Amino acid sequence: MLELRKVSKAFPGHVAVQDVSLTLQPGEFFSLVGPSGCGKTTTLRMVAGFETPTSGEILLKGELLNGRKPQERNVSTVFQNYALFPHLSVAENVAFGLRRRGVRDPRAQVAEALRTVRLEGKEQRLPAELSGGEKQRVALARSLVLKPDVLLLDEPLSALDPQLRRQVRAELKLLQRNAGITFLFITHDQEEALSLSDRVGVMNDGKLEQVAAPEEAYRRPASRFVAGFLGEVNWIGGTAVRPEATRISPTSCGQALPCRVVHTTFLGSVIRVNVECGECVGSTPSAELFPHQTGFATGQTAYLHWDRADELLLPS
Amino acid sequence: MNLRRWFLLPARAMQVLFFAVPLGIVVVLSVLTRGDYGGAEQPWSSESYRRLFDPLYGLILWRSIWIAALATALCVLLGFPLALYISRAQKYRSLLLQLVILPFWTSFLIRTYAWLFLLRDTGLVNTALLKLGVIHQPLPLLYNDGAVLLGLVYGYLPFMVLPIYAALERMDPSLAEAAADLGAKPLSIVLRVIAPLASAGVLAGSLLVFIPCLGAYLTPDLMGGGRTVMVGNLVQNQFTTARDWPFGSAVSLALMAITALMLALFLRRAPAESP
Repeated sequence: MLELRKVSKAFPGHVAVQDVSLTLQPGEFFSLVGPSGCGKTTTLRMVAGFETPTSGEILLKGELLNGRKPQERNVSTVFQNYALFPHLSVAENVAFGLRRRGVRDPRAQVAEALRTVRLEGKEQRLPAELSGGEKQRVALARSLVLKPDVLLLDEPLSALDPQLRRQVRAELKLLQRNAGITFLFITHDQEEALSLSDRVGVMNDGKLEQVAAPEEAYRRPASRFVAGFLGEVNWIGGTAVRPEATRISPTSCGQALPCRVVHTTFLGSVIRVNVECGECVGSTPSAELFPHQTGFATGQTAYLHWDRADELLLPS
Repeated sequence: MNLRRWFLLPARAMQVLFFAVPLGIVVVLSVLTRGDYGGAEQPWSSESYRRLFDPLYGLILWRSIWIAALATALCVLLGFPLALYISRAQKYRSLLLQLVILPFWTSFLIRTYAWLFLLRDTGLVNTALLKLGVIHQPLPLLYNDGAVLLGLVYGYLPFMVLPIYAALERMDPSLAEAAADLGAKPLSIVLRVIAPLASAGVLAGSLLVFIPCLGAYLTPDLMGGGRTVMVGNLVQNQFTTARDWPFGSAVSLALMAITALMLALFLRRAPAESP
């Protein structure tokens, strides 16, 4: 559906995106995830047409997009702050794109789009009179009503408060399934990316480090960066293992690593035990216990062990 | 007791001494009778106000409103694209803004004289055109309505550019991007998204231009050559050559009333504009 071929973008003084190649399948929910400044937003802006690639090609349904203005691309963007037109009503915001395409009477399509995002009855409101979640849905409706080939979403959940974010996340996924539209979703939140996407692309410092299904990327990260960005990692000697795969016991058994408990943290569903040991690299490794398991006291000696199968295989 | 109230004292004193008192004097003058050598004397009379409705003065007032409105409209037409350009300039934005403000470093009087040197029959423009053989007679560039309009637009354009620029500067740049993304062509983006959102700035600028233009006397005096009389010149004449202080006062008060009315209309609209 959408294809990027060795796309790069250089700004004066720094390279924002470097040789990014990527193909999105029709109907796919694809997330670009990475820390702020990694080039994910610049990549989205090149697809939308707001930035011009320094080199490389962007193709939509096999047609070259390079050199086409944003108006001439059948993609649509949901902006981070939604960018709703403050002087227009909800209905007129949604009708904006249709009117620019010469639709004389967009009422039926607007009503349909607003029904999809469950905003019936709010047609005449101004954006300032809406809640954050409602604004986000107007922005979605405004884009979806144009039936874009690819919907570009630039951190659309980051402006919402955390409780609402989880709920909206589920709705968004459902909407994407039902509409059958290809999503290119940008986020810095790895949990968001892992839970929503069919595939994720992890970006770091302008480069795409890995493209894989969420589980695959989480279990078999292609680099130390990907491993650390998608979840927590215990670096013990030359081994990397996730905290939830790390077990801790008060007595030695088999191939266990002796360590000392630094502190324990109650997290509700689990208890996290942080330890220190001679071979640990970086931050203190941790293991997770269920609350009904035996507690550990600070300063106590304990033993870490894990299944070899749970070790992350990283290219050295 | 309340220290903050004392901070207001100097400003209050200024306001009473230099605004309220002179205004009171003007009000009193306007209901007196004209003195033989200027000034005003008893008896009380409403004659000056009756004269305001003389068709001659009505015409002058109407001309002033017309010229000020035309100057304001031209300032919008020139100022809006300029402000938009400056707000979009990446590199030279502050330099361009400085250039807009630069004329204020020179007295308005001197700048108006500079126009006289440019536009008079033996001025730079006519001399150049004559020497180039484009024209054989000097063009009448001065001492007409067009010259007054030029002078006013030149003088007050910065007051239009700055508020519009401020409004555009505050605007979220992703709104224009969203409009383009939804398929709006550049002109459509300006007319349907940018201009409506900058309307508070345009309104504020229009007020800042229209009010001083309505009361302008220096520009019409120098560039209109006495032929283009505006309200400001009428007031000036009454206090100088005509020596009719009561009538001059009445005209001043009428001008103030019109200005106040405009401000009231603006303030009633303004709160709805702020986001």
